[in-house]
Amino acid sequence: MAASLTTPLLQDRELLAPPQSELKRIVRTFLLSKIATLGALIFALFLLIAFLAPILVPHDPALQDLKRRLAPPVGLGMEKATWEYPLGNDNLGRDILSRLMVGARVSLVVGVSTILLSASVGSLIGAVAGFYRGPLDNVVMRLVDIWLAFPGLLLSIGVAAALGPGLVNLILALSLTSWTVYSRVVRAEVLSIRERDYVLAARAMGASDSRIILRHMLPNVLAPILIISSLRMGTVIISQASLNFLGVGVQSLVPTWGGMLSDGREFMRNAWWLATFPGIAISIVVLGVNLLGDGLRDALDPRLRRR
Amino acid sequence: MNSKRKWAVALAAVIVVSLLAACAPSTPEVVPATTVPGPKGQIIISQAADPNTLDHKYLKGRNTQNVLRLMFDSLYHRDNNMQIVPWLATSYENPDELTWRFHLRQGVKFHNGNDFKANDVKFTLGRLVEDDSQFSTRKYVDRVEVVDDYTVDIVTKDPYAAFMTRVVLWHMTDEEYFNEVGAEGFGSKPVGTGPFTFVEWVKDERVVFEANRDYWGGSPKIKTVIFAPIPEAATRIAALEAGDVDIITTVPPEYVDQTPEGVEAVTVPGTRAYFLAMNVNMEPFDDVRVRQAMNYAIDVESIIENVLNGLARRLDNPLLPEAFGYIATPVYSYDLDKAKSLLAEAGYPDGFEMELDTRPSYKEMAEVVVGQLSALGIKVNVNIMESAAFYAQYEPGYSQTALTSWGNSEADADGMLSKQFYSDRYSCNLLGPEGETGYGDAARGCYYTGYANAEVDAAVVAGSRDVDPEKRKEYYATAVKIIVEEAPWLFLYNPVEIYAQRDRVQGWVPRSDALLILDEAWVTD
Amino acid sequence: MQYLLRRLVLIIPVLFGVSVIVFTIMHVIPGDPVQLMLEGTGASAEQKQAMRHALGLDLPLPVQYVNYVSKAIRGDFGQSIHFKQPVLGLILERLPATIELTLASFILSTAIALPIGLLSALKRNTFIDYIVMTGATLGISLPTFWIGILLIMLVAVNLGWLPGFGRIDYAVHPQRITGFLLIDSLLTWNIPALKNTLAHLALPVLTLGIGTATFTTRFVRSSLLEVMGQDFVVVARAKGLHERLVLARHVLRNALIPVLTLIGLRMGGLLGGAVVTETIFAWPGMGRLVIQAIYGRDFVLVQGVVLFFALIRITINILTDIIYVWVDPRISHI
Repeated sequence: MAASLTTPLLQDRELLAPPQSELKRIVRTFLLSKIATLGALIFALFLLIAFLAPILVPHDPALQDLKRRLAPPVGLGMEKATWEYPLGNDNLGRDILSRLMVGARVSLVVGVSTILLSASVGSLIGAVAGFYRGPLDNVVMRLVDIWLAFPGLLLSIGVAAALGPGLVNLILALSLTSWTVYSRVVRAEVLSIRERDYVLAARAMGASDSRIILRHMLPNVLAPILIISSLRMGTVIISQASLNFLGVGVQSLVPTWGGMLSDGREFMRNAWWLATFPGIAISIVVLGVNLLGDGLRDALDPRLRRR
Repeated sequence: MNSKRKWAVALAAVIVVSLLAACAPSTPEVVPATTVPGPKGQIIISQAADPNTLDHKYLKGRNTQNVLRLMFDSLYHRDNNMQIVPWLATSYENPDELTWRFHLRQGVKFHNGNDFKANDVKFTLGRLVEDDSQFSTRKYVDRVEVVDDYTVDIVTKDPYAAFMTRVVLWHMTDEEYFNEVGAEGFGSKPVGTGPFTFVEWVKDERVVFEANRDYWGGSPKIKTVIFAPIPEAATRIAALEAGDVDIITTVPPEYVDQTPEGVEAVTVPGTRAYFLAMNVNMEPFDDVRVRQAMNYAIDVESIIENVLNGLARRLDNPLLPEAFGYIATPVYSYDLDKAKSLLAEAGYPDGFEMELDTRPSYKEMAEVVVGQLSALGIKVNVNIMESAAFYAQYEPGYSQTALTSWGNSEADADGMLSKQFYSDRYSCNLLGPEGETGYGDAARGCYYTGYANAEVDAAVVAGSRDVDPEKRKEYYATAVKIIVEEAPWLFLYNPVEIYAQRDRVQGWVPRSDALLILDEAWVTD
Repeated sequence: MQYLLRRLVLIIPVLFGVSVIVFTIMHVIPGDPVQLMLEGTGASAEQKQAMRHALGLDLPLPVQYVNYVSKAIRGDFGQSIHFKQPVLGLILERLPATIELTLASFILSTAIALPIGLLSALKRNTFIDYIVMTGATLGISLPTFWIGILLIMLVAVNLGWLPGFGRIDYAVHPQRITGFLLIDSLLTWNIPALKNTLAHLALPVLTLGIGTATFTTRFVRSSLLEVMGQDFVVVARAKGLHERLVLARHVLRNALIPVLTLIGLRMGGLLGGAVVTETIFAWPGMGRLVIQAIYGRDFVLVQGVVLFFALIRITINILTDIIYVWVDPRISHI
């Protein structure tokens, strides 16, 4: 879906490998946009929490205290609330704040790894298909068609179930549904670039295929890849929660936001905080990466700039 | 709406319909019954899933069983106190130790007016012993012989003392009707002798029944019963609170204290035993001291109190107090010091690392167990798998440990012991002719903990064959004591079955075997 | 035309590929349908083997696959292991419910997204724009099941305004002709049933549609902004054409093409989302069916449902392409 979100913006684009001044302009445009900056700040904060979680957590996120089962968060004047556990305790009396922090780490690992994996594999396939065209392109695009014919969630469920439990398998399962987006966009981009003068010139000078792809094409497709990635990040975090909800595929005791949200729904009527805080956390981060993606697009796409 | 627009709508509709008619099923409109005094009102019941079939040969799970029970009767029946009482048969006798002679109730009619006779019993069992049947009947039933129209002999392969616990499961089918409409016809419009007759089944939406006014046991008081499946527990509760449904099943324990005005939670001790199975052929659980230490290390009472909202009983052994053959045994009460010294004796003073396989619905309990075992230095890697993947791992014996449960709705020691602790469970031949174990054989799929003990085996076999109840009790007592001592399980608890219902529903009680019996139910408005 | 024919012919290899992938995945997944069917029934190893044989599950995988395909070509999609009924029937019984749900969500989300996206683009960088964009971003940042459960608790239980599960109340049962309750109640002119169906549709449609609505809104906005910045629009404006005319003649038409593509793809995405929505709202559709089938390792059924899902998605893609060509005749050669 994100493919078509960006494709039209990138068609017959005049932007070549950005020179120094262009880079400066991009950074400036980006920073000038308050929204993009906000998105970047949110994402940075998320990164910071994820990286520093082991130091920041006030409690052991796995430590159970059944006496504090379902204890509420502070600030609402509810019984048993204490600043020691500002966001309250979950169904086994564990500290929700600590679990959220560790959960950020897992969400980040899953999100970033999925994006990295699907972006690199998907882009490579797209680039090769677009560059060589012909029968290879045909085969690859049929493969993409097949993949797109699947309801994404079902494919993830199937693959997750086939691979068995574990974080790595979860990442694989989610990546398998994401790569097609990159393939389509990168292929379209490469198709349009390969006939450009500077590519033809490089070829005339005897540059190898891999050199042309890496040196001339990759820099040009980086922008759309970056934009898609920031937007996909949110989708990946949410897909993970949906898998948890459906109870199929991969689960573990490692706290994830999706898992906390899904497990907490059982307690919504007597302990809303179990599901609400991870829900808010997901929203804020997804909001952040989306704003970031919007900002990137505004900064990287020359045509939007004109207005 | 003016006539022109009406016409346009009609035309559009006709086009769409003609396009879709080919691919859509049609269901006949339900004609409301006439207002003859008698059964009145309706009850809507919401379970987690639709029945998988209406043909009881393929019956899978309690959701299906509850639906089918409205339409069908068995020869003998369990009353609400789990006592086995005469039903379609009025009495039975044992001419020899293999033969069970049933005298059938006369004057019982199927919903289509056919008489219920001995040939129907023979026909029903004939279907249940077929290869693709869901029943294990063919394991012990040798043949069925019609003596006369109202007398039938069922002959078992071996003497089988717990035979009657099986008889209550067989829904009697009309031979003549079945042969007339075929299996598919029967599955889409089943006919039985039960208190309710089938009206319609809209897949995943509802199954509707009407009172059978001519029921041999007297007409039910409620006119219409509808099963409307809702998979998500939160939605099920919401539907009950909104007044859209009257009874819901599989209610989370938390809800018991939170029911609003007009709704009440009802509970009954269930028949499922929850336990942590330890593979006795895998290190470190091949050492009985380690298994005992595990039992001492978990504070089951606290778990029941704090996590299960008090809605469970502690297990002292695999059997539940309601089961025939139960004896009380000493419990492994929470004692960390004892657990530590047992572990040290076994050579694991600092604990060890272990794998625990389980399913999503056991996640919370797995977390509790992991938390408590950490006090012994035991590090647990939990693998939460969906049911299918879990069974593929656990049943053939690939699991080092597994958190799971086993139901004993037969309420007889034979059911539990022969399937979980008898070494030849399911013909698995765990001990094998040369004393080999069948460890890890996927095709066998009944390995579980790999537990085998010759004394237990002897007692289970003797118990299943001896028809003298007192002697059976002795055999089972012997077996249970050994099992508790050798502890292939970490005995956890037996949760209550929780239902919630609206106040308007009366005359219905939850049963520990989780069957919904609505023969006596009625509604106040 | 030739292009369309080519697209139609290409459906076959795609469906073939889908079936190979599903078949492979389902047989790689640990779990045995026979084991699951007989779990807890005390079946012996021989009985399991007998059942496996009866179901043809003891044949080599390639043989099983060829058997399946050769039957499927003739319209026989096999018998469900779990339900013991023909797969085609199980699917067709639930197809109308799923189509009704997704189509309604699609219409709702498009109806919301087009005007709001347009408004937001026209008022770029104003307060209205910020509100719209923030709302739109929040809309895609919450998991469907969370929105659904919140809606049920709030609207169905606390306020009691709308029903929170199912397709229709038992008390109103329109004669089922097509299986599409909206159409059936119109055909039989059953207004209570129509109202009841609409009321039942409201919450699931909102749940399923909200993500798509926000997504499309964002996209309509950016697509419009992009076109507005293009040379021909600037020229048109410089020529002194009235702003409204510029918008109608140049901007909307050009911005619509990418929007169409996106909407088509999202429609396919809605089908995937229906799996979760149907589970929450006890909606009797294909999404719920396929989840049960996966749980039960009902190979035959999973295979059938996924092929149907794939067929629907491909059809939507082709329809999108046709409309695409219709809107912009220049791209007919693609």
